[in-house]
Parts: sequence; structure tokens; C-alpha cells
Amino acid sequence: MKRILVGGLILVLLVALAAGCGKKDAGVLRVGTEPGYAPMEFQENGKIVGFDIDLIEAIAKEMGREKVEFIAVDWDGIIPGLLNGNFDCIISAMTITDERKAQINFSDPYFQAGLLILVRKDNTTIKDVEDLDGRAVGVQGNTTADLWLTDNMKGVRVVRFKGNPEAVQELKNGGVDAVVADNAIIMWESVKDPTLKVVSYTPFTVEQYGIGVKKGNDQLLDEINAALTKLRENGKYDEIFKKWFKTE
Amino acid sequence: MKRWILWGLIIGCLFLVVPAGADGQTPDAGGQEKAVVTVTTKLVPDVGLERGGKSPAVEIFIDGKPTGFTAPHTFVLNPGQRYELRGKARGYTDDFREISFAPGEHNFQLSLRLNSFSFILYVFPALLWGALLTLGLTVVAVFNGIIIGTLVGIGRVIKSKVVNLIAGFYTDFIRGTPLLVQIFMFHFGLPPLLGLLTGTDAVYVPAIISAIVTLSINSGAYVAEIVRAGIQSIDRGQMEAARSLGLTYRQALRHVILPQAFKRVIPPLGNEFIAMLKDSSLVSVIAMEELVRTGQLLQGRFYRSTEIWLAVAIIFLCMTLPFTRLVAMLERRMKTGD
Repeated sequence: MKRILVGGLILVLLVALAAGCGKKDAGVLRVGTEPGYAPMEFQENGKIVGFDIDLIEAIAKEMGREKVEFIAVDWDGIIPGLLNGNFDCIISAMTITDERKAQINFSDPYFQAGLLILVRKDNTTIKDVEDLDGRAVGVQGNTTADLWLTDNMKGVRVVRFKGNPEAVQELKNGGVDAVVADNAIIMWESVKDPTLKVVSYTPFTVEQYGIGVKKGNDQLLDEINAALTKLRENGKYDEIFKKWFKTE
Repeated sequence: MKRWILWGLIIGCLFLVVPAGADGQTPDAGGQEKAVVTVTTKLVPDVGLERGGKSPAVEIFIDGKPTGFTAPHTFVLNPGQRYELRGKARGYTDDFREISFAPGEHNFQLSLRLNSFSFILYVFPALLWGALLTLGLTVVAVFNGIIIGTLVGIGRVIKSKVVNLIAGFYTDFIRGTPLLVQIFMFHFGLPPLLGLLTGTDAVYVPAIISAIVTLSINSGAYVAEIVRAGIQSIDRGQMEAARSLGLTYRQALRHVILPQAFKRVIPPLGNEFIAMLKDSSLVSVIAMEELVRTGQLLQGRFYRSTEIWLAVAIIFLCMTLPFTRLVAMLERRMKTGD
């Protein structure tokens, strides 16, 4: 009896495994993203949209892929997810850093970003990064905002949220004095919500976003880079850029 | 003294190398081309394991033999040979490279990773702080939960329609909604509502208060069910006997039913504590850096999931195992009194 049971279990596992393997389709590009970072990637009417999303769709089209499948993941699980093979690449406003480069490979930079500070409209004391000293600052954990403040501003009480929307909500509720995040995101929030304002429009860091690909998957990386170059040349990139950042 | 000679050598070699790089030609010493190798190192992460928080020196080994040099170091290779270059430092895993003779200037960066044991030791203090918060939140929440739960649990069995209804609504609402939703509702949803009621902007509730209140209220509902089940499990005859001896309903409940029910609720209360110890990790969504969140943040920083999650699991076990033993002991003690 026991033997039959064990045999049955193994069979079920094998079937599941085979089904899992069979799912991989060459025509589909599976993309991991954390859709809580408007306007780069966010949910609207139940769909993931944003600059990154349009860009990767254009890249996939250029690469000759039939379909792009988006997999929404937590920011904390995005690199482990890529390493586990849950998706083929990451596009999620991810800054190219040395620490991340030790884990995954990045495409050529596709977007220049930098950190900005968001405060409540009535705030008059925070005018500069230095003014954050001794204050509570909301960030999304493990983003460059978190890492930069933790490393460079020892006097700041860094409050690390799982997602950026929570950090902004905390700012509105008065739990933190400021929120630090990438420029596009901070500007988007300040436009969307009239009770918030941007401290200065000049970012205090210079960062480059890259598309993350698992180490060893050089073929995909080359294809992505080639497609990116093509999109920059034929004006498609500018078209997408204008669509999302026309006010600048 | 030795160090000065070493530095002299390094600087001397640099002088040899720099002009070679500048005019694109290799220096020709005695008719032989030279291969000049510069070894630098990177410690990942550099945590200063030596006394006084200094980074450990990386010793250079060539073909398994110590050279007596520490990186950074520049040296000249003999022609026609292959070498295995290895860097060793205390607390780090070795990094090694195959290098072979080629004329010109070569730079090698050895990057040494903290070994698993040192890494766990390195992240342990941070994890322990997280564990302390987890344990503190759990103890406070379950303590409050027992108080709330006992009252509500009694409220569900006594003969009062209104109290039954209120207590029932409370347990249904809390048990019927996810803890995560309750945390969001309280921490993010309440301040604007309070602001609306008081006519000001949002009234902020500190995250620690939100965490304690939501966990306590949540625990209370589960404890209430435990208490209700405990009371109802006592044979109906006990109440009837107590009443027929002339005790009032309240007296019978207090002196006959509850003491007996108490023994029965000890094991499920132990379960509730352990469940809360694990569920309390949900407060990470309001930026409370408890054990699990600390682990996540460290993982995002160092990308060493195996070591981090092993350490987190061990710390959780260290908290739950003594507790299960304690509950088992308490259970045995109570039995002897039967």
C-alpha cells in the first residue's frame, strides 16, 4: 500500500515537473516588474502600464517575440525571482549598481534618473538634502534611495516600506517628514496630489536604469541591447519617452 | 621597516609600469620582455574583521605557496610559466585565478566573499534586534489578546442578546478579514478618518501603536474563540450542579466553570502565541523592521539568501521551541491537579 502511495506521489511530482517545463515558450518574453512605481510601471484598470512597460514591449517586438508576459513581483523578491528563472528579464526602474551587477547582468542604460525629495506642501524647513538630517524619511526598502540614505546620511531615520505608495501615504498621514525616491516617481506623485510638493527639481544623485538579465544568458542580453539601440535610432524610444514625460 | 621597503618596491614598480602604459611599449630589461602583475583586492562586504575594525590583509599565494606579500602588490612574473594566483584573508573565502605569462602590464582584482559563518555572525546582531521586536510585539499582543479574548469569550456565552451580538460581530469581523487588511485599515485608513472627524489634516498614529493595537485586536478574536470553546467544553452538568447548590450564574461561572476551562485553553493558547509570533511579520508593511523584514532588507543588500534565511529560521526556532516546552510543562502540571 505504502509503495503504491509513494509511487503515486512521485508520478504526480513528475507530471507537475513536466508540465512546468513544457510551459516555456520561445515566443514569449517573460518580464518581472514591481508595478508600484508610477509612471515607470503601475497598475491602471487592472493592467500594468508605464514607460518601462511600453519600452520592453517595443523591445520584444523588435526582437521578434510574439508576446510579453508580465509577472508582478515584490521588489524584495525581484532579483531572487530572476535568479530562480521565474522570468527572463527585469524591467522595473532598476538602477545599475555594483552590488546588483555582482548578481545579475544589466543591459545598456536606458534611462537616466536621480533621487528627489517629496514633502508636504506646508513644509518650509526642508530645502536641501542636508536638511533631512535628524528627520524621519520614508523610502521603499532596498531601493537606491534606501541604500543612499543609509550609507551617506547617518542622522536620518530611514523608514523602509515594502512599496513606494505606502511611503507616500505615510508622508500624507504625517508619519514621515519626507519621501525620497527617483525623480520621475516623485514628480508624478507631486503632480497627482496637490498636498505634496517637490523640494528641488535637481536630483542629488545620478543613476542609470538597466534591464536585468540572468548571468550567462548573454544571447538575450545581446538581443535586448541590439533592440534598444535600434529603438533609439528609429525614434521609437523618443516617442515612448514623450508619451510619458511630455511636460519636461 | 619592512613595510617601507615594500612600499618602495610597489612605488618603484609603478614607475616601471606607468611609462610602459603611456607609450604603449613594454619595458625591455636585459633583452627580455616582462610581465608586470598588479594584484588588488576587494572584500565583499568589507566589514573590518580584524581588531579595531580594520579589514583583514589579503595574503597572496602563488601555486599554493605563500609569497609573503599582501595585496595590493605589484610583481614581475617569470616568462613561460602558468601560475595559480590565490588571495586568502581571515573570515573570507579564497579567490583564485589562473594567470599566465604575457608581456606587459596586467591588473587582477581578487574579490573575496565573506564566508558563510562570518557572514551569519556579521548579520546576527541586526537579526537579533529584529527578533527582539518580533518577540516584544508578540508578547504584548497575546497578553492584550488574552484580556480582550477572555472578556469577549465570556461575552459570547452569557445570557445577554446584546452582548452576544457585539462579541459575535467582533470575532466574525476580525476572523473573517485578513490581518494584513486590518493593519492597512488601521495604519493608513484611520488617520485621514480621524482628521475628518477632528476637522484637521490627518491625525497620525505611530507605526508601533498601529502594530500593537491591530495585533492585540486580532489576537483577541482568536483567543475569544478559544475561551468560548473552553467554556462550552465543560460538561453542562457542572453548571447545573453549581446552580442547584445555590450559586448564582455569575458565581458558578467564576468559581466552577472558568477554572476548569482555563486548563483546557492552555494548549490552544500556546498555539496562538506561536501563530502570532509568525503572523506578526505582517507589520513589516507599515515599515516595522521585525525579524522577517530585517532578513529581507539584508537579503536585498547582500544577496545571500541561504545564510540569511537559515539564520532567521534558527532564531524563530530558538523562540518557539522553549515556548512549546513551557506550554507542555504547564499542561502536565495542570493535569496532576485534576
